[in-house]
Amino acid sequence: MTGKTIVITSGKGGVGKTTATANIGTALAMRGNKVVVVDTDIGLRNLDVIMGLENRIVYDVVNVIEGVCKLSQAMISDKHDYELYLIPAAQTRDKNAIEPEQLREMCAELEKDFDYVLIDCPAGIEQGFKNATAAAQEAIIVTTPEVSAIRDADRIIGLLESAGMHNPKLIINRIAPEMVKRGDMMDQKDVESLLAVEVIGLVPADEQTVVAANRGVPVVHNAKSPAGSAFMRIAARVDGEDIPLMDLEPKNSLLSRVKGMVGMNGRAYSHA
Amino acid sequence: MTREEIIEGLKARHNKNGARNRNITDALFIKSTFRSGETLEHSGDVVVLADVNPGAEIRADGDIVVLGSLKGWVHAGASGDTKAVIIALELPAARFQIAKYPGVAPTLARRTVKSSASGPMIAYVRSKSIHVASYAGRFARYKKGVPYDG
Repeated sequence: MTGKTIVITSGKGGVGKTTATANIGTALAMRGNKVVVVDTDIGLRNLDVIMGLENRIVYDVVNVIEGVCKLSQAMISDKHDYELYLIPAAQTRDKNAIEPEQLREMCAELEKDFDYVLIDCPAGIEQGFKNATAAAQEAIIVTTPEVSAIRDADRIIGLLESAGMHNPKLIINRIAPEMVKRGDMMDQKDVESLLAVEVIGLVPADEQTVVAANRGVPVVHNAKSPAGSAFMRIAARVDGEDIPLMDLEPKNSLLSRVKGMVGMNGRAYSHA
Repeated sequence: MTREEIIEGLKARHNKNGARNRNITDALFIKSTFRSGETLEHSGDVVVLADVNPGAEIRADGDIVVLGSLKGWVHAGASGDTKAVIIALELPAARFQIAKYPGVAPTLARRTVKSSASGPMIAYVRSKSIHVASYAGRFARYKKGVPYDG
């Protein structure tokens, strides 16, 4: 089996890299793939918390690279009955504890046994970013529809291209459909024209994402959540399925339209 | 005639005042989006067949042509050539420079310039300041340009 290594990165912090990694990883495993997610945010580990595996950590990625333990010993199996494993980051070390070449070797080893190796990249463009991207063949960039996040994504795409990683895919996270409809938020086309890369998924802002992260159960487990189903579709696209991007409609659009028709919705006519 | 002979012949032509022949230069083509953090220095002209994004920097001794939206910082005529121009399909750049003359965004300038006017724009130096106008050909005489700096 030869899998592929995909790095999930963004440049800017707090746009949802870790959440995206946990959810895409879980969704790929739910689809029947053998998946391992690697947290490379050494010193600021989060992926284990989001996945609810925090109190099962014994060894971490630095232990593996330093030869303290075997690769299989550091892999934490997810609580569910599909093939999903986590290699956590070390919390007491820093980004300089590992070299890009070492991580590349480790991922090459993992690719032999897994369909997908997902790397959760730290924010920034320093050592941590270099480590995470060196090991990957493909990249998924997470951004939000904000100018600052897009500016950083632009820089990241440039750095990836100069490192020989072309055609990264883009996830636009935390889209608020109502704001887009009002014209207060950039939509998919605006972001696409600014960054000129292929969009692989649109994730709506969803309270359930926060709830799920706090519980340590990725939101893809919640079939009713719009963000969860968005991540499911992204995983399907990563897996090679051709699913068109969905237009994100405001949640209550049909209801408010009906209300507007019968004159119950004051806002519908406020500009008339 | 070989290709080299044609190029040599064209290079041998001189402008009336004997200045450097600007009609034939070594041009550099960039065929993908020029992104934030990327920098480039070139001794001839630069042509970008895509957008120049905010945070990108290009310095060229000759002209800079952007067949897209110019949002980054560019410096044409970097070695002091005031005849260098910047041409872009869209010119929302906050700042750019030709020779030693910096241009400031029209929105920051006292006089408002309709830089959002559709169609390609050209920026050039006239009476020691940068002017912009709708592009009407490389050798058109731009009399009605609007000052680009405050």
